Amino acid sequence: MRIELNLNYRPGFVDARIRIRKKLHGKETRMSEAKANRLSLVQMRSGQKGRIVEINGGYGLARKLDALGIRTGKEITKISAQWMRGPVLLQQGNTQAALGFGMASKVLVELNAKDEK
Amino acid sequence: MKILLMGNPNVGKSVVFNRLTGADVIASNYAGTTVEFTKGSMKLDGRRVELIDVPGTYTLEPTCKAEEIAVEMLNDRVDGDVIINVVESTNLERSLNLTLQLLKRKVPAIVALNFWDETKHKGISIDDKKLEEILGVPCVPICAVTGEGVKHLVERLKEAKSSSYKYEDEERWHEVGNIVDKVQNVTHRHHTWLEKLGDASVKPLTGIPIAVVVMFLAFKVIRFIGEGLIGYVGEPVFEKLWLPVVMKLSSLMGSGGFLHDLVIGQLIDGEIDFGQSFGLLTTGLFVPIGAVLPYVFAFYVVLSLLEDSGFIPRLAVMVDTLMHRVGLHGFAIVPMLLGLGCNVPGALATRVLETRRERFISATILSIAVPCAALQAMVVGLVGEHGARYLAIVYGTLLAVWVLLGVIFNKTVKGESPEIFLEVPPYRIPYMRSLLKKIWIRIKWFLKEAVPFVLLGVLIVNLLYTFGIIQFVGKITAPVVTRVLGLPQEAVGALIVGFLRKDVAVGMLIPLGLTIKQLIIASVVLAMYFPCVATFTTLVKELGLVDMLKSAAIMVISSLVVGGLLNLILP
Repeated sequence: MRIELNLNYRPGFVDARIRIRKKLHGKETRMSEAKANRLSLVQMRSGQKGRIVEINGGYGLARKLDALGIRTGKEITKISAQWMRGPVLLQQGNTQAALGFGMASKVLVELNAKDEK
Repeated sequence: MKILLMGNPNVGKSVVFNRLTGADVIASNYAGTTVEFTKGSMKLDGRRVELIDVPGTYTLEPTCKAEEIAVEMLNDRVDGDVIINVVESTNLERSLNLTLQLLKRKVPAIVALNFWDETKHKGISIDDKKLEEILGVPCVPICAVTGEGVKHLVERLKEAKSSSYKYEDEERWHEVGNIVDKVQNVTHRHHTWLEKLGDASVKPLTGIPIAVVVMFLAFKVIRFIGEGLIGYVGEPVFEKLWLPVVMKLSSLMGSGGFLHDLVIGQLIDGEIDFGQSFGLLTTGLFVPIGAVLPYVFAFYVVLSLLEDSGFIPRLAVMVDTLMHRVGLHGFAIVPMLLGLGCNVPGALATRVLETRRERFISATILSIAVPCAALQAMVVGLVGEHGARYLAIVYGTLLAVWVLLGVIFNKTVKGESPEIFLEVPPYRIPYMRSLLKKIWIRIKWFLKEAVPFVLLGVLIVNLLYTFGIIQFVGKITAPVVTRVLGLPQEAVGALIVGFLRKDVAVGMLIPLGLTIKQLIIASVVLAMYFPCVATFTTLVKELGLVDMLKSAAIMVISSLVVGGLLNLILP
């Protein structure tokens, strides 16, 4: 059911950003991979909610996030992102954490159905 | 018996600590490390017990140095010691992760459910009785800021016991989830205004203006308090009360002679001038207490407020992108802000950065281009009286140097600069008693560090003059000082003394009658050329001797280049 809903969705401006980024930085897997229903924290829009499905970094990143209670399966909200590849702020429960752009691009999220539209 | 206060960072541990302890609080470093913790004592059933505020930790599987120390302190406990696990009620799940790890260690523990009052605003209800039943240790709801429940916590301290709660480590989060499901009930609620403000100050569109306004206000408030204290307290006390005393002493000592000049200093037109006389009891006391302390106090009031309200982590997020340009990440703003008060705590705070590269870059640009409050107070007094635009040149030059050196370091210094990763705690109204205690500890530290060094500086200045050493060094260094920097030979004395205290060094410029151009150059060079001795020793400890020597070479060279350029450019 979920797969059907998420099929190939990507907000228009993300597409535009991916095109620009590709031009600037060459092929970037984290931007182009955008596997239909999976977005990285970087690709999410501020205010969107989703569930963490994968943390693509090493053991260190997973452990740091885990200590804050941010782990696979958790519902998170993206609060904000700073301009020019700045850090992403996310909220899990009543915890807010700021992650650098690189880290944020390694956290993959499945958007909630109602946030898809 | 010892009591260890343990919990996540930002859960109000230090407020609980301040509630429980008296005035005998000391901050110290954990043996052999640079991680700081606070220690105090409290009365329990008629005897004194030691209370330790362990550095905040999210987990007992450490992810950073401070967490390693927390675990070590836990391992160091002896039988009879008790753990107070401070838990953030509004963040039960995350907090219980640590609680379960603590319980597994079989230590006598008691859980303090802090921020109990906040749960109501946040639509959270927690069944503390049930939690106590499940965990098998006492669970006491408290609100440390108002003091509610703290007495109850103390009463129940003797009930602390080790728990028989069992679980598999791999299943810990699962267990935590089960417990939370059983004891916590969350209902819908509206965001509080503090939360709305919190979110607004990390979104670029609203956050950047907020940060600018806050920093502007901070600057205004510091000037208002600082100038007010100087005008209404500092100067009257020195001019009306202290001046007659030292004048009398001066005439008793015969208004001249070696000893008189040492204690009272030179008389200017038969009068004592606190800025120029340069005696121990005149300038030696006036500089640290009359001229500098008001600004130091004002600075620490504002800084402590910004820290305790939760603004600093948000500022760190906002400036992260910019800080990456100088090879650092957002959190490196903390040592820079602290450095504006005094470079020593600033240098100590570079520890929060993980890699050697980051520490080298931040410590070097800090000690070159971030002027401490003592230096600033004197420069504002001396240069500022000629007009604010000249002050702007001094600050503008230092800022430009900070950025430029940072960018160069970012390109040339080897090593890694990791990304920012930090918890952003909610905005909270600061707890007055903790705030005042913090400001007091900082002021006490300033007085203890500054006053003896200023007196020593003044003493040495007098001796150097008496024995003609300053005149001698002035002659040797004349080509550099006069040709490159365009300063008179005597200014070399200020550069020598600047190594001891920069505020005294600026004071030495007063009698020289410098032009405004020379004042600007001298101020910038004094800020940049070398750290004062207190900062220097701290940096040697933090960076190691080799890196410090490299850093020092950069300081000397860049100050000569910048001073020389100013000499060429300024009309």
